[in-house]
Amino acid sequence: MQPPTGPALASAPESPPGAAPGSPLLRWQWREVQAPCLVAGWILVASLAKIVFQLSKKVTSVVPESCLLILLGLGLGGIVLAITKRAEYQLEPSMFFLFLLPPIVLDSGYFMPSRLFFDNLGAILTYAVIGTLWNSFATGAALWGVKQAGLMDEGVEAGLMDFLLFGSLISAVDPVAVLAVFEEVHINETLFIIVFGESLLNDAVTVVLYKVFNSFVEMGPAHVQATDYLKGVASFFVVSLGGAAVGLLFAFLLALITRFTKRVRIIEPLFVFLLAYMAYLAAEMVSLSSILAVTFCGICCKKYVEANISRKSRTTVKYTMKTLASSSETVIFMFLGISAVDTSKWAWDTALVLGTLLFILLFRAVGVILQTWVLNHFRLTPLDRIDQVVMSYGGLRGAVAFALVILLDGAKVRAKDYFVATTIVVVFFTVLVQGLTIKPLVKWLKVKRSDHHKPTLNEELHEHAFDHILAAVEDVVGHHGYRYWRDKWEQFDKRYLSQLLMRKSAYRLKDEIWDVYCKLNIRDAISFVDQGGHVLSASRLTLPSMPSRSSMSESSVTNLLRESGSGACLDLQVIDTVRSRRDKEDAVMHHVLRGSLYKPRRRYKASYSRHFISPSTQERQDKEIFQQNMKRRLETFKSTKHNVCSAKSKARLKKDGRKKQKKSAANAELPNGKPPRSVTWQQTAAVLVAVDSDDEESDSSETEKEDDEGIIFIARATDEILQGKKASGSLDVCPSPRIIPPSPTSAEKELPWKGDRGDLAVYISSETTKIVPVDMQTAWKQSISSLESVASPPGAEPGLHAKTLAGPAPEERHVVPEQRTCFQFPNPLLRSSRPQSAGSPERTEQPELQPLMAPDEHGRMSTSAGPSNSRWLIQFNRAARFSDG
Amino acid sequence: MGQGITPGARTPQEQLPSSLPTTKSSAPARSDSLLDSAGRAAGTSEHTNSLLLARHQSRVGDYNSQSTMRHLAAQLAFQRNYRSFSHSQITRLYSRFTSLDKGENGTLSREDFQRIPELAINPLGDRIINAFFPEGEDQVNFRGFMRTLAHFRPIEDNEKSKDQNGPEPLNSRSNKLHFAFRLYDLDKDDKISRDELLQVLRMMVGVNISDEQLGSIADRTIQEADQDGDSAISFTEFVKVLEKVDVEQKMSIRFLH
Repeated sequence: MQPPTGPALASAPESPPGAAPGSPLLRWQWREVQAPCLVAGWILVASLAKIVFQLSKKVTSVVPESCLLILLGLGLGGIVLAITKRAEYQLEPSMFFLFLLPPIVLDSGYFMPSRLFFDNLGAILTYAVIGTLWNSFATGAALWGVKQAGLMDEGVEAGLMDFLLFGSLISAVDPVAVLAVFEEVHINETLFIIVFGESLLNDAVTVVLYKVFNSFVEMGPAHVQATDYLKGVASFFVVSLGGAAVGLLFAFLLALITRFTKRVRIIEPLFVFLLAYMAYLAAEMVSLSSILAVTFCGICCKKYVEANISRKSRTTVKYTMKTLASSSETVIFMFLGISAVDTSKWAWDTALVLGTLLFILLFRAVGVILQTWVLNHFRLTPLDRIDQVVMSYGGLRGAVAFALVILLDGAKVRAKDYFVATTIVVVFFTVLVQGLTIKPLVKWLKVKRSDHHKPTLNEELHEHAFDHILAAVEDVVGHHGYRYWRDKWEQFDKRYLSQLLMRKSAYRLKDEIWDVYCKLNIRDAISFVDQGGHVLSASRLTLPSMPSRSSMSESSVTNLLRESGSGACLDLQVIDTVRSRRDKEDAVMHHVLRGSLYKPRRRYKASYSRHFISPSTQERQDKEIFQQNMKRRLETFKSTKHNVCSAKSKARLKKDGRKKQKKSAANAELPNGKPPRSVTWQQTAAVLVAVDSDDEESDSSETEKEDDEGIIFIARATDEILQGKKASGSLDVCPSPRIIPPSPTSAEKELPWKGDRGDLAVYISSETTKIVPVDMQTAWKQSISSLESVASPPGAEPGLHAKTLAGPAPEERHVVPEQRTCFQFPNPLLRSSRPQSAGSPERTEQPELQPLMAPDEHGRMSTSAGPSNSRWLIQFNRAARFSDG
Repeated sequence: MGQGITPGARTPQEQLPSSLPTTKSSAPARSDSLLDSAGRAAGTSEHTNSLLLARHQSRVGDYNSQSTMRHLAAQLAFQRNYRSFSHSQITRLYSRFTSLDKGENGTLSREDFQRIPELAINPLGDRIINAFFPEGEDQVNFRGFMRTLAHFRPIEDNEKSKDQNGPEPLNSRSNKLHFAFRLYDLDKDDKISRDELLQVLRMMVGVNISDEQLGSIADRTIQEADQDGDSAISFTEFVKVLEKVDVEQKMSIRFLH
């Protein structure tokens, strides 16, 4: 084994032990793979270490992971040093700034709780700008004072400028370290966002100070002119505002791009990373604050990107981002440990080290107290003493400082070695000592912890109301405060930005209350499965979102989370909510649904527009049924909830159930060969699942847990319908008859529905949505997406969008050929995607609930569709068979 | 307004009963009304005295004169409820009050409020305007104005530790919540029914959400909060369901000093 004699790299501990060089059979080509292999190897080691750490809950509950990683790095570095006799590995500043830092910053920006961030922006900016300036100058000047007092070793050849330079790099609170430590502490959100936001935003100040002082040092203090100081001040504004502007620009581009990725879903997530990284590099290129750029890019693009990309892409983005950030963080801390072993760069001076430690702690505390005192005059909720203690103590230094100090030019800054040693000590001290003690401290001080509860609909709704109330009161009082401007911004956003940057479908459906509602529904569905989806007896069902009954399901959910949760939960809320579990749950849902769903006999076909067609009796009937179902569901739910199942309601259920059962009997004999679930009558009730056929919107879903008897799908195309409002003039385009896929799998049955959104889009009015059991639409999406994931490759998704002939987007038309090639169930789709020619208003009268109305419907359908296409006839025959059955 | 009694400027005795919250059962409502009823019962208490004085001033003197206003402010500031409004805040709010008062009669009418342009685009604007008016009244005087605004004063540290026996200040958590609750509870039966919730929802969500969707949201919301199974949200349930929300912060604004 001969590891290369490459410049910086030698034997990695995990590099494969040697093969004989020059072997004729196998050639040792280490050199060619060296660099990537080392990278991969180190990441592997770090990740494995994480696994090992997590094996012991006791250790990780006391010691933050970052500490363990640093210690591990020290150990590994020691081993390397012992083997090779020289320190081989370093945290290279270029590697750190170009590759390791961006993912972490992007992650924190993207998942930044933006409301919280902007609510506290004033405080954050104050601490980031004034605080950092104060820290830098105070620390630098104080150290210089110590030097002047003759307490420092003669070897520390540094003037005022050198100390100020050192002060500027050592005084910036480090986002990576803060994140790593604070995310395990769970302090309340406000405190967290202030400390963390500060650590992100102070980058601009640090960069400017560092550069300015660095140039001063290089020029020599004697040559510094007054204009240079002015330039320094000016460059602060350029660097910070410029960085933020670059971020905003790229956020805008990113949002705009994702608006048009409908047919390239598979690379959708890539854009997020690419554009954000470009923002970072662009800012770096023109020496603006790159951290600010990425942070603002992440914060600002999120709303639009999330609305535009598909649910799966959202999950992908989220997990990829978390993975990248987590591994970067791991590698950073480990390399910090390894770098510290390299004593060749050390030059120890006790006075400098102790002085620095003392000053950064002292000045941080003083700065925080002073600034808080001022800020509290303007804050609604003042930061109290305890908050100030945590903020002072939470000022951790980290890898940024280390990388900056390594970057110093040893020729110009002659005390560089001393500075390096001091920086390492400071970083280790803050991460190890403060990181270790902050948790007990927070406990001891009884700092208000964040309480991770899931958002409830009530909270969302009422908090919205609070906002409106406060805005109104501010208006009455005539004081244009923060809320006034937020209101203005939201109006601007709604009127212009969102329209420009969001897909129409997403834009139309955007409503926060509705979003929460959908999320809750998904959560219910998921926890339903958690509790044993097959045990469908009504008496055992609970709604976990109800506080009163949440304990059981929550515990199971938290367990799940704990196992699957990554160490780097940057976001305060999101990771604890449903989304993180979704992947896992999707699979479960899929199986449950497949096992228990009855397949619809026909696609749902109805007109949604009462403007064009008067509601048919059937439609009304359907509505009634739906309402009955809803009512019943509520009753069932209530009786479950209160554990009182009155005889009366039972009887009613029974009756209804019987009725339903009849209807669904036909369903039960669908050709997919699945036997109907055997259930007791009392437990039966129909499940209505309304469908939103746009799979990209499929992130919201609901299953009705109370019911067991059968699931009636009601297909509907919410998005397209909404879009269609505009396109409603195109009535001449006729809807195609619904076609039942001949194939027996459930996926095949359901997927074709999605193809017909175009038809529905024709008949749009604002009232259309009323007909549809909206709260259930979402369930469809979930089932669809889970089915899809099994049934079709991701690339096939575009095919599902085919046939939106009446849709407003012309680009959708050319999807048709595409789907042929990639969609897996070509038969039904091809048929359904045929251009529709003969539109008949009758079609629109078709009922909502097919099982009930099926025979009639089929009759009508065949008449309306006419013999124009023999294939359709086949289809109808098949349909008829279903209904006969 | 120079000469005497305008519709809104009535004696405190007349006004007090009408400004009692009409909700009967809930504890916060009671505490709210305790404040007034205590003052009424005591008759000569500082509370009523100061009110009388203030009213008197407003009736006799030039309402807009600086000195009178200061006097009034001082009197108001004396009251428990407004004690924490600083002098300058009261002065400021008073000038806002008079600037809103286009009729210059010392009271605000609904039209005065509706003239505020931002309120017209606030989804809950009209509800909030209504909240300023005591039951059955269409005028609100400065006292009522301040009384409503007092709900939104942030809770200060020194108030948290205040004596527990005294009447609850208007800016207490439960009074803040009750203010919001009353916006929903149109028929004042101390319950948010499904219909009432739907109305508010309809105001707050965009037109893109259908009635059906709204209905299911409303159902869901009620289910979530409902504990006694009456398909409505009582105030107790309302408080319970928001117990994790930082109401103290989210229902407070900073009045300028």
